[in-house]
Amino acid sequence: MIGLSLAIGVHNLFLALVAVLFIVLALIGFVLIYGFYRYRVQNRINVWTRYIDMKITEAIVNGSHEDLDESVFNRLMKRSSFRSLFLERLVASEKNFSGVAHVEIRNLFVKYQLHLEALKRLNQRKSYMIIGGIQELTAMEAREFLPEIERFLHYKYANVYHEAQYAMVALKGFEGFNFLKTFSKPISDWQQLRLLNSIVNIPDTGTEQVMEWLDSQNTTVVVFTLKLIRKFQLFAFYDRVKECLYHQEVKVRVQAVRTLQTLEGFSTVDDLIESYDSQPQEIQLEIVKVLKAAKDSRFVEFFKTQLSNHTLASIRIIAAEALIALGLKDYLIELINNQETSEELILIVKHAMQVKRW
Amino acid sequence: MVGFAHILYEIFIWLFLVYSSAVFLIYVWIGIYALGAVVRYKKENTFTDYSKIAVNPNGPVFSLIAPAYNEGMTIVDNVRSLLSLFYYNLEIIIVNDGSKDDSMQKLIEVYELEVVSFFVQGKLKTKDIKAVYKSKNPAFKKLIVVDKFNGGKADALNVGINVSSGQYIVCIDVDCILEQDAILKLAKPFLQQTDKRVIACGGVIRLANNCVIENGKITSVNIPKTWLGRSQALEYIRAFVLGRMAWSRASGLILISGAFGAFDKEIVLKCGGYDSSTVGEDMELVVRMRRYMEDKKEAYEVVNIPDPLCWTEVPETKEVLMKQRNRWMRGTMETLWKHRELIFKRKYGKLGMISFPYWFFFEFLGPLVEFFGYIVFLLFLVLGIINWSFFLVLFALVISIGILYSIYAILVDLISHQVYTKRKDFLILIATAVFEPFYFHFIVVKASVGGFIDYFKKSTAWGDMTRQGFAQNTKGLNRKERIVAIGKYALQSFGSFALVFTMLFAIAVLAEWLWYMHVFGEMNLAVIGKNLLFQNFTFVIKTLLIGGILFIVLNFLKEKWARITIQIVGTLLVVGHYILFIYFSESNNLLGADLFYYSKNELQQILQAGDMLNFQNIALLVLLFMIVYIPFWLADKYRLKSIYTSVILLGIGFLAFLIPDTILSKSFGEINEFELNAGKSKWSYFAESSSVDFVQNQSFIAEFTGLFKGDTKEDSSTNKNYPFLKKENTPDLLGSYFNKSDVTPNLVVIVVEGLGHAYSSKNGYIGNFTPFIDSLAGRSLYWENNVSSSGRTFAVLPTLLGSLPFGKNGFLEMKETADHFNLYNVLKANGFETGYFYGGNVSFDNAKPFLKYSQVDSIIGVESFGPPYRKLPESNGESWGYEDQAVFGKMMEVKDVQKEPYFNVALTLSTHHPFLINDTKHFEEIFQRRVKSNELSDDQRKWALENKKQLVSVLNLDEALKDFFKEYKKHPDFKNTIIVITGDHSMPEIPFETKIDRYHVPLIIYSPLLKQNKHFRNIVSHFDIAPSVLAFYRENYGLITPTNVTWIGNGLQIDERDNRVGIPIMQAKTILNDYIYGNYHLVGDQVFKLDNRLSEENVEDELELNRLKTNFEKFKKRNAVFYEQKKLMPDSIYNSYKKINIPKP
Repeated sequence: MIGLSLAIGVHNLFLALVAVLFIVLALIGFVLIYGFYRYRVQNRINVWTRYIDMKITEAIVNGSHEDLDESVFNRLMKRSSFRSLFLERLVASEKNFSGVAHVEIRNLFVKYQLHLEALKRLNQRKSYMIIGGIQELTAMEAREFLPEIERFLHYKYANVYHEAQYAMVALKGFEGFNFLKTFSKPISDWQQLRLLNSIVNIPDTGTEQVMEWLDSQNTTVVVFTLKLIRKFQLFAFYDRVKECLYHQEVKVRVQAVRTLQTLEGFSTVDDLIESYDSQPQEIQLEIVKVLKAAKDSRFVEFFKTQLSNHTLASIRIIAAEALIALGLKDYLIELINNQETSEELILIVKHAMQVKRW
Repeated sequence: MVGFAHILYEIFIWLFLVYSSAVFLIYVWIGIYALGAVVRYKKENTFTDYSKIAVNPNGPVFSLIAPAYNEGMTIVDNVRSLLSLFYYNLEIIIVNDGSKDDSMQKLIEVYELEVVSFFVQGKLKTKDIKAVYKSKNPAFKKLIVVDKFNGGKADALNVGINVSSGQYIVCIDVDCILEQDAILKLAKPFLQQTDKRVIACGGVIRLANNCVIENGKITSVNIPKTWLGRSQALEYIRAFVLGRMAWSRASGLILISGAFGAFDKEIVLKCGGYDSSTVGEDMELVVRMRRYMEDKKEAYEVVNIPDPLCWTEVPETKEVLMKQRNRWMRGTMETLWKHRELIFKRKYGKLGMISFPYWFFFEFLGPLVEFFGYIVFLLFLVLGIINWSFFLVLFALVISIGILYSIYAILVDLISHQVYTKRKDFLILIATAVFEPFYFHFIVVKASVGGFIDYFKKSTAWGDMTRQGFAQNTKGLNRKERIVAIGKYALQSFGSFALVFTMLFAIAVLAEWLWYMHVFGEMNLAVIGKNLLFQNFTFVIKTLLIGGILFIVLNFLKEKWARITIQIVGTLLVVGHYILFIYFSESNNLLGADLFYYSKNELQQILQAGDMLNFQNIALLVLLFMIVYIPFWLADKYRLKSIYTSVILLGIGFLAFLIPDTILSKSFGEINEFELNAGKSKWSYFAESSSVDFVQNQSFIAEFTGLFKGDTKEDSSTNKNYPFLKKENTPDLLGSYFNKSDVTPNLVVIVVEGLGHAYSSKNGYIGNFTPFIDSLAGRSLYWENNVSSSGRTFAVLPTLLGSLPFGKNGFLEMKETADHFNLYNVLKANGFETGYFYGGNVSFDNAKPFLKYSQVDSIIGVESFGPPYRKLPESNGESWGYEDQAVFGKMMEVKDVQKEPYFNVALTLSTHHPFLINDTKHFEEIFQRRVKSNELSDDQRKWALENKKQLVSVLNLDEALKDFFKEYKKHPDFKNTIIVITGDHSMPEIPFETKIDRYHVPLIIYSPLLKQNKHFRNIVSHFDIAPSVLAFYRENYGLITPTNVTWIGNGLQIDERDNRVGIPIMQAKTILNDYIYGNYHLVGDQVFKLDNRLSEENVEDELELNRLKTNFEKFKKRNAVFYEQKKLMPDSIYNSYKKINIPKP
């Protein structure tokens, strides 16, 4: 190879390098021109954005769409990039308003047939374009296009089917969760948060489905369901949630403890205490937090034991805090002053005693 | 050698182009990949509602850790800025790293801090905490301030991690200003993770210089005022928007900036937190985390998001900037070194196969390669071999690509998140892209090189990479333990030297092979390559064993000596290899102990005449020394963690000594003599030759080993003290071919430098490039199969004129010329006028004492010439002397019609390396005509074209000889003159087909007195000429010749019978290794059978081998006796001849 290279000789490279140099210079020129073009486009977008925002404000405030020069607006609406920006601004504004204003925004969407813009994106190949289209239809509550969105529930890319899932729930409510029954892929915390935020109620008829989701092989579906039960305080599922304390996945158990705390019944603390010893430290920590919050004097000895013997410092700290909450500050002071108390325990107790409870 | 600098120039250009092309391709990839990543991120997050997590109490806890050291001026505002960040579950931990200013005081006052009892749960090892503070004011409940003893940034961050309670940590520089939604945006990738765990996430950092900051928030973005600041603004865009986005998308990111990055605390803790012993703690942590995940085989991601989340002040003075870049370079090197085992490890996936090599070859080596490029450029500039138009185009291309990349980065930034929205700022940024390569870039390169050097200077303070010296480690150990400790230490140290030596030697061998490929083109390079590899490997491992033992022993005496010695010796060995192989390629000879037998002046003349001692070559040699020394110097800074490498290498070396040399020096493949030599380890040859020579010089060793003189007992048939002395009974075999003249004929012997049979006869493997000599041979007594007695010129005069033995290093090398008979003194005694003609320095090869001893009447050397004679062209200000035309001209000049016969010897010069002649063009044309003619076969033509320069000089000689004869014929003496023409040896600069080719030279005896021409095919040698010539004169013209002589030869044979007289041949002044007897040629332990064309082939014939060896040994013993006695004959024999009153002819 090198021999070949040497044979070619440096001088013969000269012309090739000159050619490459010209190409690079041409590219610099192109990138520069395109850069300036993009800069102008950006400035134009800024102007348009202000113009569109004005249009939206006018619509919200006056309920009329005629205040601005319609001819100018209509002329701009012939431009795809303007329509796209208009739709984008509408969706962005939608988050900030509700009630009549929201209706006015939707009216603009309908009036200018911006759904066509959104639908066009659904047919793109790039996932972020599809996501944009779904987000726009969802924000504009374009339920008539649900079938268009539904086909993306099983799309190959997670970010696309996540968006479709969200759209289903946002537009169909509880019914939109139907996909959970068979959904085998993990649902991220972010997606769970969005889904939980978007659902406002659970119909009575939904119990069976919720029960079904708790049996899902998909851990994230179970976790999400537990969060759902917690949000809507579905007491009917107490026993079923209790069973989840022994779920094979720690993540599920953590959510089960937190949900049980929300669904607190007469036997909750006993149920938790019962399972305590068999749980890993992560779950024990969650249980101790619940027990601390319960302020049940029956567990004084339990807390004392945890404070003295547990290997996890965070549990010992909570145990000390629980004892303080139960009025055993003197016991802890005595513990601090005891010569035989270890340095670490003294530090833990002191740490717990100074915690501000704002 | 002149071409070597140019070749080096070409190699550098090509390497530079290859490297630059790789950089260019990577930039293209980064540019394209980053654009996709940036656009996708932007589009996907257009409608992201971060407010959902901002107020969500169930979100994970993020602990923001900001170490502070002497930040009293700004810390209050900075903390206020941090407290205003949007995120519900956020704790802000300020770690005061032992500030000497009033930082703590200000924080305590402004944020109403009080000391709290705080149980630190984390277990990372850190400096002690003085106190933990929390605010009494609920408004600052998120704030924790830790006051600790100074331990550096990494240590402070570790304290923050220990104190933190969050699931994720966000590490920042306290002087950074964060966007209020920075944590929200950083949190998203962590919350979005599903099948791949996000272990770290970084955001884009922008420059706060010249921006308007109010209440800890950026309210107006402006581009920095200084060009340094602007260049960094551009640099940050390139790095964050392009580089990190591309690597993030490709899952290859290994750097999350220390100024702003979020990490999964669980993984950080499992990895042991930040490494406080490195200045590049940010990169090191990410590499360690990735490594941990790879080891655990867990899917993971390191993510960068293109949102500008953090604003930082960058240095706007050159000094501070250089310090920062110096530190970055050291940090990079520390991380690369610490995790060096990752590189090219398939097990570590993209981390080992892509990211780490990229960082090594481009981020680390990039500035160094560039800096080295500047040095090389300056060197080439000084050497005057810069092709300016090429250089300027290349330079313009490199700069243009840099500008293109910068402008592209601005464009991508514009598409993603336009930070600099003002038109003026945008234009300044474009202008910066154009100017930056001419100013800022050089500063960064300089600082990086400084960092590279400082890394080694300061390495004594850095942990396990350091060379602590063993003295302190062996304190308190008993003797045995101390010996073991020192031995172990020495082995560890030796390991790094051994690896460097092996690597550099391998490079040198590769360079040697490539060099041969370039110079010798058509050789059997594959076989040469194999031989080079094998034989040099043997040399290296043997050297390592010897060097290793010496190094360990020296370590016990004084560690420093050992280290210095090994660095120097290693460098010399590697550089020596380059010198040896270049010597071989220039001279086609292996350099052996003959080097020591040239005087300083002779060496200087050889080097200068060969154009070796020019400025370019000396500069290149100095550069080579530097380049080779640096790795040894670096090796000195480190020692290996284990002794296994050294033990294995030494073990292999030991085994190599156990294997017989005959196996180790065995060559692969079917190759000719030259190719065989090309494949040899030049160092091995030199070392072996020198050691044998040394032993021969040490009589006590020689006696012990019997190597040279051990048994000087001569066989009973010869005189014990004068083994070469014998009765003169050489038959006159020439007389019958000559007409009898009335007067004693003159004798002229012309010894042509480097006149090999290969190119002076159509039967030679190169063909006939001496048309005149060839035609003369057809009119003469012509011995086609004549051999010289040596591979160099040093032996030709004693052999040709006196049939004399060699002694130890050639007859001429003897301090005092031993009494003997030769053509000069015998013919002179018979009334001949004698002369010696040489265009160069007569003292060369110690010829002058010999000529003086022989009482030569006219000794014509370089000083005897003058205008109009022309010298050979100078090479590097030095010329060998006068051209052949001048030598022959001088002979004619003094040849007036003489009463007495004369005997003249001429030794030519033009056909000597470096083959520079006058009228080159003319002879090149002749050369071209010959090459194109049908006289040459295809093979011969190929050989000829490869050795054009040498053959052009041969054509020059031939024409000079032709002209000489033309002139001579006009002279009345001519018809009564016998002219002997032969070569002193074959040119080693023209590759040999077989070993005998080195000595295969024509012998032509021409005279107008000849009755007939005759072509003889029997083997004769230079040893036979003097006896035959004297026999001719004695028998035909009544000359009185000595009755006792010491001829080695028995006289020329003119029939076809086998040669039954041994011909010893000395290849160089220290190598007496060839012997011809009958039709067999002995070389070392190999026997070659010679045919009637003097071609040879290797034969396995034990009988012949023994016979040859026995005879050769006999000769060697006789030669040894001569050398020991320093006499060839008793004084009485010599004196009695001298006293004879010989009548003049």
